[in-house]
Amino acid sequence: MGASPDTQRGAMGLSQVSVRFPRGNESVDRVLERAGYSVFERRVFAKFHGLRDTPTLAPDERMEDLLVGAGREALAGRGADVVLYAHSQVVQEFAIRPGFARRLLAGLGVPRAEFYGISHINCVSMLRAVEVARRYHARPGARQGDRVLVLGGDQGSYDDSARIIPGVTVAGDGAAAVVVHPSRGHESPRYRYLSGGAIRDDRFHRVLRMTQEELTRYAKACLGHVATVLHEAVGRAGLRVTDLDWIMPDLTSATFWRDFCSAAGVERDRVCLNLLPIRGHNFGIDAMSALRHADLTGRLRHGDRCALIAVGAGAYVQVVVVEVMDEQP
Amino acid sequence: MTDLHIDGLAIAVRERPRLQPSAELPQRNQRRQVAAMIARNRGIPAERMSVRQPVPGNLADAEDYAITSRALDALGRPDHDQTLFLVRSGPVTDPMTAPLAATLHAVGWTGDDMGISHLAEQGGTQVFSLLDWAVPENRGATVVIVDDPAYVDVQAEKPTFAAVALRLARTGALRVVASGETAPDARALPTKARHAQIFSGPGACDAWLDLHAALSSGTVKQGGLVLLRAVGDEQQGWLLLEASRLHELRMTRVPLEE
Repeated sequence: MGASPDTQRGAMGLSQVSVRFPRGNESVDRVLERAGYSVFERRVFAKFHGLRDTPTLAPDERMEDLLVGAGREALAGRGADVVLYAHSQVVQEFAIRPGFARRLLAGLGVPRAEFYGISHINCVSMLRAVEVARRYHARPGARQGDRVLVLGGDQGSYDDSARIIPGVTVAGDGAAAVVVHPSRGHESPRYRYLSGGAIRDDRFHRVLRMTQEELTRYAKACLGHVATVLHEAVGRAGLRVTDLDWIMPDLTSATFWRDFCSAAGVERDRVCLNLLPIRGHNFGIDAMSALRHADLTGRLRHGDRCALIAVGAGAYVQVVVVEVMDEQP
Repeated sequence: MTDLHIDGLAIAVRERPRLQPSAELPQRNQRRQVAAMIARNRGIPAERMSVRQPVPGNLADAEDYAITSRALDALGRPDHDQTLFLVRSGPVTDPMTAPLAATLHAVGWTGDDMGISHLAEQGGTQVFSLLDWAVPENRGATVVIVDDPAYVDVQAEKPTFAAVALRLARTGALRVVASGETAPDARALPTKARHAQIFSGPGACDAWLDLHAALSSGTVKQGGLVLLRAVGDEQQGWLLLEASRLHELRMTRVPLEE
């Protein structure tokens, strides 16, 4: 399922992506200062990683409301049979209050939908959930009108120790949602699913407890894994990396994508990093939020091919390749 | 639809879980803070929360993957690569690490993997509704159901501190007949389950442990039906199995020892 050999029935589509960020914002510098980082270290985050602001829930905002808001907009009043909630964090204050799943389903207006958390694979969870959704549509007896809501998002601001990845990034609060449905059903997709790919390198399972030496090896390995999975994924769609119009990246840092572009020979202006200074990394929703932003700002044209890329601690890499379809009225 | 069968069942049980009252931890200790946050959200006094301590000297347990890797190891490796579903809800002991990836590294797993969360006590039954469509028709799968919470309300909860590993195949010992959920006070059983042996409990693993004991003692008969139930506060999950080829079932039980 993770490696997504494209043997499944029928063409799949994705709806327009919906994204919700809180009103509140905090400067990355402030978060790092609070955690005891030196001026020099903080400058590295700003100057080299390109991180400035991190979305942070205001005191009167709730993570659950962001999830419901994103989900309802993606559903567009048409319901869902299954809701897959993809998350990176395992300590989730908002989800610990009893009845989380039922409250969420009720808020989404789909109280009878099946509900599953997709987790323990960190920041690839949302793109992996798209692959899980494809399985639902490939099952015997699947109907053209079936819909799966893929919902993603975490609250980084709950705890500074959970939102800071030392030397790499600072993560914020946000939610994203997309409906995965058959392309030839009752609705036309905004994006056509072309292919996918994934890899796991579990040598790096100690994540934030890795030594500096392990962290260095991890960063290098991730560059190679992203290149490998990207090549495999576009190859499954009968394409080459040079055929891609856009890369919708994991927004951990500019440093990673500069290194990736140099190593993989990908033109930097094809990697949509516009959101990096103002949104930064928001766990598993980065690629979806970059896709939404590119669409809203008029960068996408009919037929454009986009690779959505996520990198998760552990380590995991997930790629989904989509093609932009005509916007429906 | 092609049937799913269970042909391997391995359980790992923490023999002597070490629970420490969270109030005994230093004020700024992260685990004490998580325990207090859980208590606050459940509306209970923080003093009721205890934290599970790892087996001394066991790094895998300190990083919260000892019990899953023990169960998976006992189950053995599949003949071919397949997806592993880790059914586990709630916080882990050490959020700075990746326990699923660690488990797979420890046992040398080469197939896909993912965690399934937010099913709470329904995890051991409700996951079969997902497996019904998430496992490709020509494939098997491996499922590990975990009830080994890092934080325990000592007044209200009695976890099994166990992991149940299941090997699913297209033919095998226990046929998955149906699964579902009902309101917790519903008395009516699924019609098909009217003559089934019932194994029931409040957590994700209780019914599985009782089934394992019954199978080991020979009280489940060839051709019989068994109903596993997880009775939670909000929902009652159930899973109906048929003992179709009992002689093919591979079973193991291993302790997680001090």
